[in-house]
Amino acid sequence: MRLVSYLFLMTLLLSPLSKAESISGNWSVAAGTGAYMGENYIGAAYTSVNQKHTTEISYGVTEGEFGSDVEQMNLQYSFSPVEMNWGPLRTNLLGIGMILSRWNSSAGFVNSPSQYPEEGYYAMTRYRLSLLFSHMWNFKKLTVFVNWALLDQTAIALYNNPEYVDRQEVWSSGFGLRWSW
Amino acid sequence: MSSKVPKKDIYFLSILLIAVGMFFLSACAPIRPSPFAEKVLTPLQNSNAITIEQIQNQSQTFSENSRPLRLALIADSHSNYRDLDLTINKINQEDIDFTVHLGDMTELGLAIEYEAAASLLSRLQKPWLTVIGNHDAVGNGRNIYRKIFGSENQVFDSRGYRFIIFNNNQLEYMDTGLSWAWLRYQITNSALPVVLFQHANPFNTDNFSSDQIQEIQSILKLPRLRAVFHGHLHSFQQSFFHSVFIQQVSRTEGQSYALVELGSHSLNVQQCEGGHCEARQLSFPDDSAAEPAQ
Repeated sequence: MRLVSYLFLMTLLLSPLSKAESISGNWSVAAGTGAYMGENYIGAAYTSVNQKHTTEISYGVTEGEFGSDVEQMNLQYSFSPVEMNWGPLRTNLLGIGMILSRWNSSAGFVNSPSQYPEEGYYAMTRYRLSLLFSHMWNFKKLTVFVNWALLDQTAIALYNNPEYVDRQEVWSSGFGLRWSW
Repeated sequence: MSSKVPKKDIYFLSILLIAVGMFFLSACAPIRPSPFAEKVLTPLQNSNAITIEQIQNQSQTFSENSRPLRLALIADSHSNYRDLDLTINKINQEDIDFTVHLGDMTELGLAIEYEAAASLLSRLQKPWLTVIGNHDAVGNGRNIYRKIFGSENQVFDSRGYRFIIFNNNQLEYMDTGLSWAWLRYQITNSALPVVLFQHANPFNTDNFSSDQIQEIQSILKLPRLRAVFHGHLHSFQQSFFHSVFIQQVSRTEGQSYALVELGSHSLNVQQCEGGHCEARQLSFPDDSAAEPAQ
């Protein structure tokens, strides 16, 4: 029920985008893994008529190793300015965007900064923002994409300690499919 | 004939080059499913228990005439990897037996933060142990801690001392409570003098209720307890509670760490910061003097 509510709310929030762009943008269903969006995630995406703007809402689940699974909602936006075409195959070379993830959890201090006696002691742990890069290959109604994401906390650590963080280890890659109608 | 390349082509080729570079990157980058999950890529598992075994094996090679036991203490590195790394370089130059990180090796208890801290701490050339900090226990942090380092509470005997690693993060463990009875038992039933490592300062009124502080005070009065080492407040501080020496260790910023030499009747502490160390020699009061190591 909670999932349905989230999807409904997010669709309402995003619907002005689809009207602003054009009536002929594409809606698609999406499924994928990784890039901080969940071990498995499903969602709905809207791609603008010029194929440069994509917004996706998804629900991701990652198997918990200590009992309960990690459930999260993701709101993703990416901008892919450059594309190449080979007949019916179209490639968006490099997309750049953001992912906002919300953890559906009541684990300690997830909600919380204000639970600590000193207000704002902990940073908000329920929401995480990731920087997103992507490649997409589109053939008719099918889009295959590869994502990789950099978590906000890691980006801050990289900025503060540029020589002391292994740059390759900080990325999370992922991939998935979209089917439009 | 002009060789000028159109701007549009340069733009396109630049994007193509970046894209190819990103392809290589994505081929190498691991799939991290969720920022909130317990999945970690570090090979470390149950690291504290393995290290304790290693320390105990090493201690068997020491004779009565060996030098006193020496430890290095660091705390509250959070995501300050630069200073943690520089501090580790300094500790690697010291003649010590083992190092203890007194907690808060992360900011939000995320798996990727644990991985970065564990990766740097693995550069320590001597055995190292960790204590869980309050930041490490946020969200799924305590599960990740257990996976990498094992139980939050550990006890071991080495070179005439009993060492206890104790989780005293009261607020973050409100749901399960802390193991005060276990701690009291380990101190009371020790034939050896006891040294306690924990994250939070024992009398922190933000963490503990007045009833809990009374309980803590009664534990600190147990006759075998000699010293408590903790972090949490990001600065150096030394004090005594009755006959128990309490050392607060500063955060790693500025390459801060403490060196401790534990004799059978004395304690030598050096507080180091920015390459400069300040020593303090302390004697245990006679009425609580430790028995010589067996």
